[in-house]
Amino acid sequence: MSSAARLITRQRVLHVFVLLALFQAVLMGRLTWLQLVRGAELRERAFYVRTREVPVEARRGTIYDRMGRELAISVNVDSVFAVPIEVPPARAPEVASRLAEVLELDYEWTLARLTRREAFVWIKRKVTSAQARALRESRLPGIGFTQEAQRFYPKANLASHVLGFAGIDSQGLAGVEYSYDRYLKGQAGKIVIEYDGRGRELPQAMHRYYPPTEGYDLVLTLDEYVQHVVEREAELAMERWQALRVTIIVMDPRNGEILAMASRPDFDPNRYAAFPQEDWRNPAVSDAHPPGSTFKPLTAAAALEEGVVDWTDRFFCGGSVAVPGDRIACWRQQGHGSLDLSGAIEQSCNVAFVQIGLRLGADAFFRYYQGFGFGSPTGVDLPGEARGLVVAREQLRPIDLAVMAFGQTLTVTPLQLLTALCAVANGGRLVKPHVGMELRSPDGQEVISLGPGPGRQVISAATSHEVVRALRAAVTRGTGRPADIEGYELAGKTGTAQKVTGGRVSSDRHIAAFAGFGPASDPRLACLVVVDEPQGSAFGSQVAAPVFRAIMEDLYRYLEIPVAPGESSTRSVTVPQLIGTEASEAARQLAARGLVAVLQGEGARVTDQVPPAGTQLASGTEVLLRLGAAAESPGLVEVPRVLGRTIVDAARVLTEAGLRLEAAGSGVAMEQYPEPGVFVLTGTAVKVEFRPPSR
Amino acid sequence: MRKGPADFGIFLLTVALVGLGVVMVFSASSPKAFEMYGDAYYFLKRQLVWALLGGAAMLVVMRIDYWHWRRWAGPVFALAVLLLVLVLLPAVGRQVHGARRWVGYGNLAFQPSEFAKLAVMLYAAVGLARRPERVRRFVPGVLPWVGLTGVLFLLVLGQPDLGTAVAIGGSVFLLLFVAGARLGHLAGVVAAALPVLAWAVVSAEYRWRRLIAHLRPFDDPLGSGFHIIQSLYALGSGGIFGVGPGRSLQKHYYLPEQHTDFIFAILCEELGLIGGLAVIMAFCLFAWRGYRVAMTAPDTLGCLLAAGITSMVMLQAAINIGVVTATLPITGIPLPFISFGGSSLVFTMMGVGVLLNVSRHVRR
Repeated sequence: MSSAARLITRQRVLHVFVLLALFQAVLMGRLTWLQLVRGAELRERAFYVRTREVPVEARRGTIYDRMGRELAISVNVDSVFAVPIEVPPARAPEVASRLAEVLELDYEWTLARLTRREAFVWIKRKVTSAQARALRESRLPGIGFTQEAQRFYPKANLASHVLGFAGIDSQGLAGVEYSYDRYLKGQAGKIVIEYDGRGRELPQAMHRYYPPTEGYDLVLTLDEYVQHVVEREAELAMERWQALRVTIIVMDPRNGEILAMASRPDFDPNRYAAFPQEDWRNPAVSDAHPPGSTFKPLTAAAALEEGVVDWTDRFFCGGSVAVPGDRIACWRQQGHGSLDLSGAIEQSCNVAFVQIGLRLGADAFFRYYQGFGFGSPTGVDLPGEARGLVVAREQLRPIDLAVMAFGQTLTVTPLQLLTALCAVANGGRLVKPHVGMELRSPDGQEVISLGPGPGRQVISAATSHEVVRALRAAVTRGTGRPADIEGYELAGKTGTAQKVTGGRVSSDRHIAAFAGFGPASDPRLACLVVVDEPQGSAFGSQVAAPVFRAIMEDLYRYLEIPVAPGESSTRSVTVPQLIGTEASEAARQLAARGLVAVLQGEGARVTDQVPPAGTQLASGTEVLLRLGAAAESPGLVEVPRVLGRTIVDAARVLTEAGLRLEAAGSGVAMEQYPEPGVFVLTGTAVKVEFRPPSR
Repeated sequence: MRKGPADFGIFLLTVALVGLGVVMVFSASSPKAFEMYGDAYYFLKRQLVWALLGGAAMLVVMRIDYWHWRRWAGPVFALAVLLLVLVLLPAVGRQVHGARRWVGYGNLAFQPSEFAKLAVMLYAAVGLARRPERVRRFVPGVLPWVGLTGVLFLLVLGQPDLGTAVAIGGSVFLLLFVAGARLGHLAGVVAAALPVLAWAVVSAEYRWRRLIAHLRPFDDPLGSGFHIIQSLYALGSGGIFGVGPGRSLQKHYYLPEQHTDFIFAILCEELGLIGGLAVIMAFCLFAWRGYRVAMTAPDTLGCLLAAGITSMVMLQAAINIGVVTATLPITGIPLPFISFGGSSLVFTMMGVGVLLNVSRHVRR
């Protein structure tokens, strides 16, 4: 080989090396780009391809009454899902038939779902624990369980219109469940499971658990005991008067807190779908009717504030009065004769109020109409508020003004009316009614106070005091006498309105109402009773005033509102703990303390009591005892042992026991609290710490 | 002529890469091995046996002075061509995944194309060294080799195995370049080969799809793009330091050919960018030592043998890694020393044996 040829060869060897090395350098750059720069993105995509997510619903916040009693809770129940790729096609019919059998589903429908080309399908959500147990024992391939929170309203129908209800996805659909849904619902979590390329769980893969964020707890201004009293009276009135509807609201006139709000007919939010949709409506905020004479205190207040009438002014009622274009009759055919303003309120004289209304004039009337909050929503934290109707200002005839002065032709919602009355009672401030007291973050760290501001002054304190005095007189010697209880200083106004149906005033369909408060010297409770279409009597004094009276009688005792001297002094006694005792024994214990047992439901033992043990009550007060079989009571369960189990496994075991898993970490369970064997309330969260198993 | 010691660097790199390969084959194949054979060590055992066999072959060949190949290159090449023809016959060739690449049965099966790769290098090096000046002329010096390679190319392509065909063609081409062929002649060869390659790609629909998939894998993630996407996922999941030995997730039936043609992706997933770069560096070092042997070889035959074998290893490594990183269109080709496969491992190590023998005769 010549040396020249050898030189060429050596150079070319070097060229080949450089060429190939350069290409390898390009590959190094490419590798660096893929692993370093695009690494995170590719890793995420690979993770997404390898994993499937099982949703874990967030626990919806609990709703409490103002004393911390549970009104709506979330209990965890099982939902059944399928991962179709994991169901072997040959076994699909067998799996489908077992599912259909246990869950009472259609076989064809189930089979179709099992063979869908989807990563995840629901088979049935929120199944009973017996169904879940049966399916777990069957060990069906590709069938999984996840906990979902089922909303449970332990007091059933109690306050159903205020609470509303939540749907299958735990989404609030009515009541405060709807208006505070944003806070109550929390944020769903998930369990991420890694699979191999053939759809089997990876042996050494971790199940990653992203815990859901629990919803905020909501504390209402409602008081379960007050609510119970109101519900009871609504029920009684409904029966006694064969009414179409009864609505009662109890409010604290000082701050607008709604202590109770009930209507009949109502519904059980646990089974809301079984009731007609019409019953879901909350008439207290959604229905507007003519207020009738309960409106008169407001007309009087406006006239006094405007200075168009005086307490010394006298009005003559001859049974009817002429207004331009018409003649208006008083409810008392023979007339009231000569009355002053106080007398006109006491006797509820329409003729006098026609004169007052005409003196007030349209401009002032509308100013106070709006001032008292009519014609616009009260802003209460409940959905579905109506505004109420009124004759438009530009179409107003004198006859309209005359009639509206005593509460006809215009319509208002019960809540608007009571809110306006509260302004009369509390010294002239229009406070915003509300049912939400505060929201508490799940960890208890954050508390959002929901109380609204002080409200706006509508009438002067002086006018307020004067109207209160007149309303007190209406109860002591006027139409409101049936509401009076000696020493209770109750004040209020009856109302008998003719319903407006189809735009026409009806002569045979009435609304009997009573709007009142007490004690007159320092009002703490305001209450409106509306009985829609009572049969047998239309008069507020006969129909609604006794209901008001009964409610006030119970609430004064419960709230320990001082009764004027001379009243029969009642002994204060402590309510004993009765849950779990036999009904007869519980009744005996109550009787021994001078309390009255009211039994509800069927069963041998007491499962719940209102008010709870430890409450101070005046003797003679009723204590509500709910009876039931032991099994259906939200009783105690033993905490099972979950140590050594995986998250999915632990969740299953705890769910079966009616408990919730609060997981931390990943791997297998290393610690749990409460410890196994301890008895806790159903629905309690068991904290379990997971760590990778040491090898 | 006195014999010196063999190049220790080449020996060490070979042993290291084969050792790493055995470990990676075990890691990458264990889920599949357990699933298919109920034995997680199934592929490991075989790769170990072949590594020992290859090592023995390497040590034996290392002791055969390279000029003896002058006599044996012809018969060896003839045998290789015969086997390549035989494997295409349905009666002899065993069909796996739609390709006839194997002769023999069970554990004794081997791939003639792997044997042919080595045989053609020996034969071409011997032929080119016999009359070194002839390569300067096109018709007597270049054309016969091009024709010969073309025949081999078509035989291997017929299996079909485009990857190995391209590796054979590329290696011979580099050898012609090193031997001193004129650049104009080589340019002509490239110009003639391109239409053939283009035809080879377009003639089989799946090759065309692979080419497209390589360019835009995410257009058809479950079809033709699946392979390359899973490879990229493995690389991306590895990051800088990797997920750790044995902890690849992509090997669980996401990445096909996880222990053969795509073992580098699993390696990068488990050992990270660090591991991947180290392997590429090792191949570059191997090339540097190999080409140094070629440059210092005592005669043209030694130079061409060393350069040819080094190019063959380096080219295959470049193609394999280029495919795994989606830099080159997919063609099935093993990563030398590392991928699972007896034929590839044994014949590549035999080639290294030849290279090591040349290194014993270099001028010092």
